[in-house]
Amino acid sequence: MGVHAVEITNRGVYQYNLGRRLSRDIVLAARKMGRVGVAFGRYSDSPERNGIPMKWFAVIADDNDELEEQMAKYYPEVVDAAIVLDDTILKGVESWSWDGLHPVNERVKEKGVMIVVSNQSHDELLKDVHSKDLPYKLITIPGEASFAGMWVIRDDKSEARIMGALAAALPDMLSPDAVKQIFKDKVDQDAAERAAKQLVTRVVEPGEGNPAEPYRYELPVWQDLTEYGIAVVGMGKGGGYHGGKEGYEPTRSTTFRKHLSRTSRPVTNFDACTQTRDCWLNCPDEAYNVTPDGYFEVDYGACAGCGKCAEVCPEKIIAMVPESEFEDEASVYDMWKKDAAAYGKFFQAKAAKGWVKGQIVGPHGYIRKGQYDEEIKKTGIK
Amino acid sequence: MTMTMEFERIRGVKAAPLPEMYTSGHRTCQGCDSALNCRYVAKAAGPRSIVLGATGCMYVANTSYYSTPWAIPWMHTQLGATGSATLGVSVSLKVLMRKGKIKNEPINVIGIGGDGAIADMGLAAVSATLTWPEYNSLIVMYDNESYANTGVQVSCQTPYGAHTTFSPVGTVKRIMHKRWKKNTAAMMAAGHPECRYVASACTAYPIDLMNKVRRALSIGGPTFVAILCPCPKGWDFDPRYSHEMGEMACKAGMWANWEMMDGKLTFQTPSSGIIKGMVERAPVTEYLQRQGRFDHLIKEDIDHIQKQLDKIWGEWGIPAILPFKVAEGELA
Amino acid sequence: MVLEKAKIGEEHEALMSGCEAIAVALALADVDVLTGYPIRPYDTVINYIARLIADGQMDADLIHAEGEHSQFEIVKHACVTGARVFTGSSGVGWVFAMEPMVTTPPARIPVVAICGNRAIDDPGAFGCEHNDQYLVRDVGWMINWADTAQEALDLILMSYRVAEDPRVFLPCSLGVDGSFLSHAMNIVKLPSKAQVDKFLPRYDRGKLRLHPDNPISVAVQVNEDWLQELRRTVNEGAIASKAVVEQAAKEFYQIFGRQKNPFFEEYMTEDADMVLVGAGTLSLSVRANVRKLRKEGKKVGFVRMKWLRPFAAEEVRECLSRFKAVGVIDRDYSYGSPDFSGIMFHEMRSALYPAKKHPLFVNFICGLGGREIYEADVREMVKVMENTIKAGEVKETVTWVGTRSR
Repeated sequence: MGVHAVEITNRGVYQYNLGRRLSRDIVLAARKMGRVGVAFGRYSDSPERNGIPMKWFAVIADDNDELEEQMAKYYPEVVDAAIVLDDTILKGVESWSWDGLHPVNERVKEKGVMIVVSNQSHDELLKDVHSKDLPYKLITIPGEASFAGMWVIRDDKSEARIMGALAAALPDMLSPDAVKQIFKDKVDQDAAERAAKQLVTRVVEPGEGNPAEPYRYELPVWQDLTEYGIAVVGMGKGGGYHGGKEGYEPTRSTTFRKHLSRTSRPVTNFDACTQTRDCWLNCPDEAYNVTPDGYFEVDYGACAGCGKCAEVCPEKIIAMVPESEFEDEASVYDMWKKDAAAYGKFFQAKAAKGWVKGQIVGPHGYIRKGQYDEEIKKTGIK
Repeated sequence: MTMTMEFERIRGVKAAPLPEMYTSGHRTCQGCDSALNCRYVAKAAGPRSIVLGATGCMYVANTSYYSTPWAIPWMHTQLGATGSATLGVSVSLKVLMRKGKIKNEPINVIGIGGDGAIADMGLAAVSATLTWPEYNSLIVMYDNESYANTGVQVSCQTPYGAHTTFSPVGTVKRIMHKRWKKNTAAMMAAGHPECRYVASACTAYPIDLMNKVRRALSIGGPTFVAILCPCPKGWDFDPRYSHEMGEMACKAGMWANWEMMDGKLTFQTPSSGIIKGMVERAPVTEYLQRQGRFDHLIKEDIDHIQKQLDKIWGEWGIPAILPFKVAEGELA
Repeated sequence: MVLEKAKIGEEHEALMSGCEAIAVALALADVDVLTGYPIRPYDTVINYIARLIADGQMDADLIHAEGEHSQFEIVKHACVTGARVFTGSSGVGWVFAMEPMVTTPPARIPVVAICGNRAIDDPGAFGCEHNDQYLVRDVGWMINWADTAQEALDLILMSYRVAEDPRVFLPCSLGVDGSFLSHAMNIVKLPSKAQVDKFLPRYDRGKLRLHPDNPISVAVQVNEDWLQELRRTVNEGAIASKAVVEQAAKEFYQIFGRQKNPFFEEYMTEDADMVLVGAGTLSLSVRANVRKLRKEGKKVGFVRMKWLRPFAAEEVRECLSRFKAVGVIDRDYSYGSPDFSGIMFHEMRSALYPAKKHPLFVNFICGLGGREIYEADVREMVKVMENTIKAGEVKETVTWVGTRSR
């Protein structure tokens, strides 16, 4: 059987426990098959932060020598399977400063698989996923991203379903029987079995996908660090909107953006905006620019998608719209300034897919006691 | 005494200053109100400021991996050293100005530490700094009610019964954290006769927060402000509700907004309404049921918390500030 | 208190203890911010400093911290803001300040401190031992030892000169043996302010200064992508410090006529077969007894180490490889170390490894807890070295000299 490596990418905190458990499950299932393995995360990912993509790994081998050889490289450069627990992560992974943007499929080996929990079609997903030079299989498990915070787990059987899917996708690595053995609960076992039959698979050819070039940074050599040592020059203090004299635009980081933390982004109905400033004032990521005419424009490079602005807006005119609705980070303020009527239609269409203050659409963390149980009941997972 | 900065009072949201002295690019959680607090403090203080930041989320999540969100000078200090680092900078500026080695001008010196840094490990250093009347400084405690950066562990500011990694909900022990929150800001106000300004604020009331920061920085001498910063990761709630969590905490009486300035104590919204009897304190149940860290609480736990709050607001010598009264018959 | 009011700033002689001499050096060096916290024996220097400030002889702010941790944090941050600073501690007080101490060199902050060498608890004892100062030898502090009040004054000035050199910007600690140096009173030549100003330039941090005119973020968090390179930059400072010590000693000698030998001092080593090596005030007893033994025909000498960091490996190699036997005196211990010996012994023996000629190395652990080193002790050390030379090999590496034993 040789050596197998699996990488799991999830949103920090929200699928932390799911990612961790999956990495362990892979090793435990492999153990049932008489193999050995190691499950681990990336130290630099911790402490995990709400929304920021992070990774888990599982490396399994037939014997300890093989395993040691693989672990000597530590983080696998190539994986047999990449599992993605939130389909909005397909836009890319920027985990920390200076790391740049990493395509979520970058480690997938030739003819390897990428398994994504998603309700979107493959065509839609391939608009986001960066193209590779090698062919690989894209497999979707129908479903929404799971959510659970630090203390309360949303028991939506994602764990069992993904393990079932993995065994179906990589029969060389994991047998369905081994997967069954690690789940004691019959409900989980059934969920694993069912998921295996629900997979939608497609071969992705070299060059297929998002053609955008992922941005990377070159880390300085030590000689170039002698001037400041462990200090860095401070950020600029911002200035007028787009370099002009009016409004205000902060100086933003050039080595870390929050845009890849998002599962949804705020979109404003500018026609109905009364310019209370609450959105701008409450943003923990300084993502709003102040335009010369006193409106508030989100810089989608900086926005982390927390939803605070939408929630505090007294007019309820900011909609949090799923990331899957967008292919770029174009300013919606520019769109509105260009053609207010067209923008109005655009806003209505997008807002219908998301939520405004007072609405709860789709899970995005703990809202109140008992909420997860209700959601599970609705989806019919027993 | 070295001169302090003069500030305009911020008269409302529309008058909030625009420039960001703490800007985009910090590796904080979605909805992080501790980061928002740094933004407010830096914004209120302005460019002629120096910030000292203790180890914690506002160090590791801010200046993560050789980057910085600070547009004003900032330096890291140790977990227990917010007070001493702040004092060091303040003393240095004063002496260098006195000796003509640097230009004589008002410079804000602000130490920012979390609840672990200020109320646990660094309490002695903060207290010491508040005894030096000749050095101007502001120490800010961002209270997210845990050691958040290391994975959400119990601090002396963690509320009763909360689920943390050091107080997990187990099959045998449901509640492992039975300590009540230390009254840190009140301690600072009561214990340091030379400290002219201590306040308690919350990120859900940003204009109040920023004005408190400005008053602290302009009054002269050492000052202290404690700020409740709802934490979506540690408290476990959807980050969209960070603002609402702050409001709910204050309205239920789990936190109080107040200000002690030159010996006079006043309360601010919404605590002022509660104190004056104009508004009922909200029952704490709803606040507790909105956060995963309290998901395991049963009626007996919630009742205990409510009872404590009723005592704090109904029986304390000074509600939310001083837990004791003068005994009957002691005074003339 | 023996300082006469009008005399700081004028060149003259005075009778004073090491602590007092250090206080005068600080006044002459125009130190800006100092911190103190009571622990013996270093804290006497703070008493003198306080007196100087109270009487207007020193223009500086003295902060009485509430603990050593805060003490060292305060000066660290005062220094990064551009102030010339001073602080100190002893024994477990020094240990309590470890956190600020280890975080000072990486941010290239030239704090100057004295370590009033004192035994580390437990048991509590305030007599002289060197382990406290040695604790910072790996993390970027420069360390040196004075043997007289005069040298304490001189090395304080030298420490500022070297630490504040922009090629170095590393903190420096002067070891002041408890009681013997800190408190015994000797005749000291006090320099004039003009001489000191000539030797010691103003402290200028340049781009590393924490001030609103220079908005930098100091000590940002890092991960494995950065730390190795950043440590390498600190290493450059340590490497550079050696040449700066040499240069500073040359300049010092030109102005004050002392500190001709930058890193160590040789005493009666010209035709010696064996030498003792040590640091601090034990040198008094060793020198006196080396003279006696010389009169008896023993070809013994003494090498007194001043700077242990930076370690002048080439110079030490060149010096010690001339002898048949080297006896390193450790006023410290290093439990469980190679051959269960002392810290300076390890440093010296390992420094000699690349030398073409290897002397026989033996170690003497003594003087612990403030116990004096007597004539009988020195004679015993010389005897051991003689026997070792005769045997042609080291039979027993370590001797705990002067220890009551059956």
